[in-house]
Amino acid sequence: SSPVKVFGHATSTNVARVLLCLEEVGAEYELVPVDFLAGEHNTPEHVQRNPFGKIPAFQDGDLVLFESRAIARYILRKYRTPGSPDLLGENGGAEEAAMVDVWTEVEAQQYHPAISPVVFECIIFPVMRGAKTDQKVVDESLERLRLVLGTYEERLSKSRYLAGDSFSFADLNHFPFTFYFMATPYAALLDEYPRVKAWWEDLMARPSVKRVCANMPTKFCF
Amino acid sequence: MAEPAAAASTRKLYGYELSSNSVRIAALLNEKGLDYELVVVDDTKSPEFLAINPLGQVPAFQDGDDILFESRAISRYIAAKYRSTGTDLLPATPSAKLEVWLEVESHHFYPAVADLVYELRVRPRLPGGAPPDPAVVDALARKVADVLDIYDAHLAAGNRYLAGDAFTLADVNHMAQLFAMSRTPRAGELVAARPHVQAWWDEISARPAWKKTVAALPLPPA
Repeated sequence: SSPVKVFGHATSTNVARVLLCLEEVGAEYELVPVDFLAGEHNTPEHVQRNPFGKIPAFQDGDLVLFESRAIARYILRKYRTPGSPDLLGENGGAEEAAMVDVWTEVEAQQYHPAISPVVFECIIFPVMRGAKTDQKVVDESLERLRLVLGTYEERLSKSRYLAGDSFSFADLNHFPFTFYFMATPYAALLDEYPRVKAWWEDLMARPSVKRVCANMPTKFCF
Repeated sequence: MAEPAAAASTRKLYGYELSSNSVRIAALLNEKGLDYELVVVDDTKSPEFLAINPLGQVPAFQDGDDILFESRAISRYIAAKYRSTGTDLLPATPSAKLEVWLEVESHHFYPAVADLVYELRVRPRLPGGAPPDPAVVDALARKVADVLDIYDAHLAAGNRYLAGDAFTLADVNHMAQLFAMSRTPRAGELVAARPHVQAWWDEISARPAWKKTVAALPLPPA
């Protein structure tokens, strides 16, 4: 069967989420660029794949999907091999899958809103729009992030990974924005939460993460 | 929302009736005909409640010894664990389309609709709350309109419900916020103006389980 297609670019956080899953299960894929500067995300061809005009979009044969976490779950279910880990916890029963889902949602609804504004203000807006960092937004976000990291530190004192003893989709979902956060001037914040820092370093050591990192910049010009 | 039970239920929903994410879970439990005890949480930052959900938000859900938080994780858990009780809200095999529309609710529908409902209905009723700001309301309504255009096109493309022919978890996850929006002055231009969205809402809101959920809500004046 032909490789699946991921529409977007490797530096995009939500594309990276999908690529990580593909690397975890060892599935072959083709990355098809979408030229934002040329407005390609608004063309009928792309909107047909992703009606919100965003990346990633995904194609596997006749199946076209959007929403990175939905694409990720599809990949982890369909392309899982006996050798790849049960990242969704679905073989462990309702309770194990539930813990993965809880901490996947915590990333989306609590962690992401706290950490992403720092990444947007320090990297994305300056690079893409030449905008100046809004320090007030950064400071408020860091305050929120401290509260969230406090709960993570507590959680990781009871549990090796967020959802339990095994690495899961929940841990993986933290990679994209945290990677870029570590390229902002505020990376040292993680040093205040030693279990979180250790958990992050463990995540960064995964072969799938190293392969995806290789295409994501850590230095930016603006 | 409280279900009179012959014996105390092993299921506890921590929340309150005006929390739409608590209503999300009540609606689901009613669809499945599952009894539960509603534990009204007055102070989400109390030590007692933080022991249940360290993120300090409602709803939380206790099922025997298992404690879950994040409403979309709770809803996945209930739908999977109790799939053979009441309405089965999951397809026989995992559906990528279902996953997509679960994520669309989370990242596109909910943020847009919740913000509009907040400005129209919640913020003005807070202590010291001023009336809705027309310019803010218009901007928020435009965002909702853009999202609902995509829903209308999706439902028009041979989808009776969001995941296809069958009523699923994806539909249930929308109902609390759709209901809140249907009671605002913008419902006409947003929902009624989109015939497929209106027809879908008419159908799902006519379900007996939903009517039971609404009947138990202490509704403020429309």
